Parts: sequence; C-alpha cells; structure tokens
Amino acid sequence: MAPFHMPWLTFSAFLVLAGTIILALVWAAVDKSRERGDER
Amino acid sequence: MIVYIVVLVVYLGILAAIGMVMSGRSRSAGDFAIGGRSVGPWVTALSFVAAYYSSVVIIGGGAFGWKFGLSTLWVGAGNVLVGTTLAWIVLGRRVRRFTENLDAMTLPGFFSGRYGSAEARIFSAAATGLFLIIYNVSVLKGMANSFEVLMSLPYWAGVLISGVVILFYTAVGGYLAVVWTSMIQAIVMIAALVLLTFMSLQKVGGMTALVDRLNAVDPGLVNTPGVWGWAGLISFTLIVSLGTWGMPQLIVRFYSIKNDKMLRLGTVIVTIGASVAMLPYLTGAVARVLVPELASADQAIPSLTRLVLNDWGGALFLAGVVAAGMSTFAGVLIIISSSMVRDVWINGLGRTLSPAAELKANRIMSLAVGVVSLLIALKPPALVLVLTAFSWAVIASTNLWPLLFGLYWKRTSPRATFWSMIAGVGAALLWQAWPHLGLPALPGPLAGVHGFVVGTAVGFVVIVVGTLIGRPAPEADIRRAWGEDS
Repeated sequence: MAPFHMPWLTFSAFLVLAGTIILALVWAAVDKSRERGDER
Repeated sequence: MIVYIVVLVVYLGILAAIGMVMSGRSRSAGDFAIGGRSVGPWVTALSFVAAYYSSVVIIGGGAFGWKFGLSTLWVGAGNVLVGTTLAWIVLGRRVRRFTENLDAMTLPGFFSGRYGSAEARIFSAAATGLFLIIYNVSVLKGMANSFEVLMSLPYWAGVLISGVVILFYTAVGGYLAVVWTSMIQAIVMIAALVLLTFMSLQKVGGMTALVDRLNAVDPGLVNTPGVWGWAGLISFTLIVSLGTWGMPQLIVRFYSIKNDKMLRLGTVIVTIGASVAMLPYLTGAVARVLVPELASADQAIPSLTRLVLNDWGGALFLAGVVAAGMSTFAGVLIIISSSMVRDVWINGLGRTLSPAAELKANRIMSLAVGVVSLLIALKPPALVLVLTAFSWAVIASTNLWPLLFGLYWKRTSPRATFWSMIAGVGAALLWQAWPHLGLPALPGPLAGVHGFVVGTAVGFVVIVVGTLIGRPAPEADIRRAWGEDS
C-alpha cells in the first residue's frame, strides 16, 4: 500500500509529476553546460 | 453577490487596461501575431499554462474526477510530462529556430516554408481555423456556465461579459496583450485551484480520509484504471497531452520567445506551473465524497466551490475559471486571425497588403472571428456541441506529425505530409462519428478508444510510408529551414 492508503499504481501519478519536475531541472542544467562547452 | 461583482469588475478592468497599454506596442502584423519575437521566459511559460488549461479542463477535469475517481490523476500527470515538459524540450528550440529561419508566423506558414506545399498550408489553415472556432464555442460555453452556477446570471450574460472583454483586449493589443493577460490569468487560475484544493481536502478530512471514503463508495474510484478502464484512460490522456503538440495556440509560444536560451528557464517555470493540472481531477474526486448527488458531473466543481469557499474564495475561483477560458479563447483568436490574413488572404489568394493594412486586417479578422464564435455560443446548434468533442482530435491529427517530422526528418515528403493530414483527420472524424452512423457497434475495448488515437496512428503510417516512397521537399526549402543557406 502506498502513502495515503492509495494503491501504488494510482500513487505513481504523483511520482511521475515529481520525476517530470526533476527532468526539467536536469535538462536545463545539461543544456546550459553543453552551451558552455560549445562556447569554449 | 456584491463581492463577486467587485472582484470581477476589478479583474476584467485590469485585463482591458493591459490591452490598452499593449496597443501601442503592436505596430506590425509580426507584433500582432507573435509579439515581434520579444517575449521573456516567465510570460511565455505562464501564458502557455493559461492557454493550455481552459475552463473546459477545470470544470470538465473536475467532472472526470467525480465520475472516475483518482485514476484521473494520471491525466494530470500526462498533461505535465507529455503535454508540457516534453513538448518544450522536443519542440521548443527547433520551432523557435525554424520559424525564424523561414520567417513563418503561423503553423500553416511553417508547413508552407518547410515543405514548399501550398496544399498543406491551405488544408492546415482551413481545418485548424474551423475547428478552433468550434473549440472556442465550447470554451465560451464553459465560462458562461460558471457565471450561471456561481453568480446566478443568465447564460447569455455570461457569454457576453467574457466575450466582449476578450474581443476588446485581443483586437486592440494583439499577441502581446494576450500573453501578458494570460500570465496574470495563469496566476489567478493557479491561486484559485490551490485554494479550492486546500479547502476541500481540509473539509473531507485530509488525503488519507479522502481515499478511505472513496474506497467505501466504490474501490474502482481509487484503483487505476478503476471504473474508467484502460482504453478510456489512456486515449483521453493521450489526446489532452500529446494533442498539445499539434495545437497552434500553444506552439506559437515557441515562435515568440525572445531567444532559444530562454527556453531553459521557461521549461522549468512551465513544468512547475503546469503541475496544477492534477488539481481539478483531485478536487473532482473530493466532490464525489462531499457532493455525491448531482444532476450532472459538470456541476461537481461549482457545487464544491459553493460548499467549501466563502464569497471571496468563490469570487476568486470564478475569476480563475473565467481566466482559464479567456486566455484560451484569446490565444485562439490571434491564431485564427493571423492565419486567415497571412496564409489564406496574402499567400493563398496572392493579395498584397502594406504592413499597416495587414495589421488592420488582423485586428478586423480577430473581431470578426470573435463575434462569430460569440454568436454561435449564445445558442449553440446541436451539431456544434457534437463537434466540440472532435475539435482537439481534428486539429492535433492535422498538425502533429507534419510539425514533428518537419523538425527532425529532413527527407519528409511534402506530398506524404499533405496526405497524412487528410488521412489523420478523416480517420479521427470517422472513428468519432461511427456510433452515430448506424454501423455495427465496435467491439468492447475498441469502443473506448478516442478518435485522436486512431487519427494520429493513421497519420503516422501515411507520413512514414509516403516519405519512404516519395520525394523530399526541395533542397532549398530544407536548407533554409535548417539555417544552412548562408
């Protein structure tokens, strides 16, 4: 049983949301470092 | 009632004032259609959220949560991951660069420049224009219904109040007025949804109590896919998530951002802002516990609002719903008017307009399209109401693959692109109309699949096979799109 007595499959929607925010942050950081690399 | 009137008058007054201020900054058709490619990341990102989530999503999403329970949270998660973050990462930078290289201000204009295909431009402009007007009617209807329920105003008054204010600031201020008002509307919408969710969860006794009480009503309201079933859940999530990749009023946000470096910050902001997509579904599920007896699921969110919020909160929520609808409606108006003037009148019919005349034509066209939508929304014919369910499917089936392949596969054939549009739209319409045609019923799980899934699958096959056996676009068009012609 997942938090709040939810089934894991339903609760995973929240995990996908959290993962998406992390994806956006990581993509932005990688993109920035790639641009710095190109400038050098 | 006084509180509602005060909040709305102040709010609508601010929007009209922004239209006036921005009118001075719309000096050309490029300013009117895409803000002269000068918009920053905050405004771009938040206006994307506002244009994405219309009043239909808030009221309709709540209705889905009420009917199908917590499995609908997956729709919200899909909106954020596929409809927002991946759309920005996959499409953003290339759309910004290609449309600048091709000097394109509209999606049909991009198809014309990228593929050298007049047929693709005209078909995309016609299908998108027609079905966006139909979509706008449903957005206006959603706003008017909220005025009806929360303020006891007659339906026609709700249509007129929201329609007239939008027409004013769009026609006067153009795209810049639309994105700046949309940013404010996004903030109001996010605040309203957060407030409603917080208060309704408190009323139901917290998240765990919500799950337990839903479980007692029906375990299918807690499980995934639960009472909805996989076919309905997956195809609905796809249409309202992947569908955005073909929606011109959202794609245009990438044209207008100041430069592609700003997409980085924009992607983070838009992801966080778009996370509110989960809330209408969650509050809809709360409504199932707190207001279980409703004549229609569409009343779930307005009824919950009346139950858990005081007058100030209710007024803020109404402003949020109206905000969601207005920003979508205004974004669509700009798209249709600039497409009609540039793609149909100038490039299609070969008319020449001076920059000042093109700007004037855009303003007149946005007013004309807005008035037509408003008149239809006052008394929508039954056929229009049926077609609103098709509008996203048709628009996305038209534009999705030609845009994506046009950005990533140089070889993509112009002829395959055109036939992919026709086949995708035809398949989506046929699938949606199937139950109304008196044909034998589709077998069980297939019946729950939305026409969008069928339309995009057919469109995908046609564009891939057609490209493999057909000829690519002229080399000069490809080099220009990729910025290799200098």
